[in-house]
Amino acid sequence: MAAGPEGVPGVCGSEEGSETPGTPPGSPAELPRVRRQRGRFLLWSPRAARALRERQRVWGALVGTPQRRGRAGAAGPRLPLQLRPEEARALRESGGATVEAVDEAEAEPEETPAEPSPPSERRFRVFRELWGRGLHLTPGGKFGGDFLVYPGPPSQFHAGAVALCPCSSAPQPLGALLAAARLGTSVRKALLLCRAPPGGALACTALTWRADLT
Amino acid sequence: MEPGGSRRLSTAEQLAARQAPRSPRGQKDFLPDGSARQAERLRRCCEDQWRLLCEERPERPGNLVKAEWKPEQGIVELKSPAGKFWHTMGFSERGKQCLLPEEALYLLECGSVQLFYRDVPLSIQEAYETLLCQEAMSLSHYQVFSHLKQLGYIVLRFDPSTVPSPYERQLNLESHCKSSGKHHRKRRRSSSPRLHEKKHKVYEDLPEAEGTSSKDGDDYGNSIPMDEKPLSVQPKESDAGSAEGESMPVPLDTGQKDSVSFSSRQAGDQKESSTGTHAPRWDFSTITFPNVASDQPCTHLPSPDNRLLPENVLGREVDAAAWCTRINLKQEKLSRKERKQRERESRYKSSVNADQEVRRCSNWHEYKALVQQRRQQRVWKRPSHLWDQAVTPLLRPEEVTSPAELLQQISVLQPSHILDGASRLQEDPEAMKIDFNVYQADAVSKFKKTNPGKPHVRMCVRSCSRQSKEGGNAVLPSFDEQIPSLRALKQVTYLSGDVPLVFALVDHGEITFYSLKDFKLPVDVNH
Repeated sequence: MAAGPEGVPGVCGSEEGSETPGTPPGSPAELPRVRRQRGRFLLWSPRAARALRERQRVWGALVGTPQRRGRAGAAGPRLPLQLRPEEARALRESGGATVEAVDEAEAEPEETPAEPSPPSERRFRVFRELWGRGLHLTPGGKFGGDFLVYPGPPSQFHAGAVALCPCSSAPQPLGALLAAARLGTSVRKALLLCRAPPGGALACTALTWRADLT
Repeated sequence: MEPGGSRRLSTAEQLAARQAPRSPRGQKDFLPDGSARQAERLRRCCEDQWRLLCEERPERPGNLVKAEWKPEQGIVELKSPAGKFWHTMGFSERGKQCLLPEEALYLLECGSVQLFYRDVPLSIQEAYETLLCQEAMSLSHYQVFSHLKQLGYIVLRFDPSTVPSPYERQLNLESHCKSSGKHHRKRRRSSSPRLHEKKHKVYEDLPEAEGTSSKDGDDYGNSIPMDEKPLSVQPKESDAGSAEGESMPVPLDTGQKDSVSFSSRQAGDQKESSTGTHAPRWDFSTITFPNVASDQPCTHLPSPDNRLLPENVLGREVDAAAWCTRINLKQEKLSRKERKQRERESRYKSSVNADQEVRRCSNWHEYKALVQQRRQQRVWKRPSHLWDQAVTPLLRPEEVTSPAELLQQISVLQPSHILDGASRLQEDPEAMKIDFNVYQADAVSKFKKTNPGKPHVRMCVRSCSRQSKEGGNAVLPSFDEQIPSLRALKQVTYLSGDVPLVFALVDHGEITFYSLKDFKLPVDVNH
């Protein structure tokens, strides 16, 4: 094959060799391998990417450069698939994928940072809860939130909500909440304020802008 | 060497690969309803995506440029001649064509080069994991680089030493050659003589400056230039040069006989013996105003002094009596609008000639004496209830002459620019770094790698990065971090010179661009 995204070209080394389209994903014994390097998580196998998306509801982002510039829009983005830290960690903890370090010199990932509850920790717990309930989650940066929550595959459904994971111990300025709620309404998505404390259950509050009362 | 034993695609397959794959069609649904239709759409979606992911990257093996990764230098050396990309990418070193790691990786993904390391071709995955190890070129940097390249921009690494300093910019030095000798065929003729002229003026004695001002021509169309001369040296600077970013004194308007100029001139008169350098050549007591107005027409104008005229200009005496009979024959009729305007203006404007004392003056000297006398006579009574308290007004009435000036004087917050005080903030190792110079896509044909010119924008890449444990600081993920402090912004904006700065926020594969725009609040002045 031509220089493929993974492995040495021409050599179908690993079991994840290139396959023709239409073949269903292989046996469940092969776990997708996520490569971690400097805090970033990349996945190179087309089959693994498909498995993650279709069977595990983890979507990530395709960040590869399209081959021909003119066809960039038509061809769409390509491998590698980049996962967010919370996606990678959720997969690792649930056994859905293995995370391997690219450079052996890199120490084991310290998943528990010094601060008690930094934004990344909060986000991860909420992600794990929502994902665990069968929802599909993608980054919510475009809408000023932490996640976009989909009832089904993002390619097929509209996002139902924008999820925010604010710090529950610090007071939130009302203006920020109003701005977020207004944003959610203008894009016809509910705004969810989520909290998943370490020992407790997921708590969500939906915020709606009452346009009918203004 | 054959590219790694790859299977050559047949013509049919290449044609198929060139066609755009189908994207999911139709509107998206809001909720899953368990219908067969949804299931079928889902299945088709998955197939399309799967095909996308597996899409082969057809190459034309003959077109592949071979290159080798040199880890100790951190660059890629071309082993066969470069292709079209050489116009905007790459550099030469010791006679060899080389690429920066981001350029090489991009070209590898595009299918234009083949990368080798120790004679083994690198896969894209291996290239990602090997080439993006520098601090200056991490995955985030590369993603921004690739994104901009896909949009057609020309992207080069930023080099602080190529930014001209404000002084150099002021001298317009960037249009002249900096280091390479190739540039001076583009010298702008207008700027260097100007430069010369400026210096000429600043360091000359004023009497000489007076002499040369006439050579500069009537910049102001001045009819009576002598008052403006000592002061005009400075305003002409701002007119002649490109004094960017420097506050120059406002050039005096000849039409407006400001009292300021008279009083200072008068001071000059009195001091002339003491300073010695400001000796005026005009004796005001002998210069008369011929009054040719209709009430007391002076129709006989004597011949002017030949010493005051330029060489080839002849003066002669004139008897204007004949003309006086031919002018002002009709009563002036004002339109209604003009009458109204006159009425309005008469409330606060009055002609200086309406003043009898002024009419009694027969020359400038007397007029100035009158003004000075009036000034000294005027006793301005300060209202005690305003001025004898602990808190006094900010201004005296005579200090301002317009609403704009008033606002300027009493404003507490002065408008500031991001670069104010920025030059003092340099030398900070923690400062943000600028990563790329970005040049516009439509300039590709004129683009020269050796002289790229001023970039369209400069790019500052911000991302979450977890350095190695020894390295220290783990920066918070980008959307969580604060907007950069004003200090940091000043530093980095100064570093960028006069090129706008754009920040690229990379959040695990998602890139957001933002920039800060200068904004000036409008001043409400009803003049």
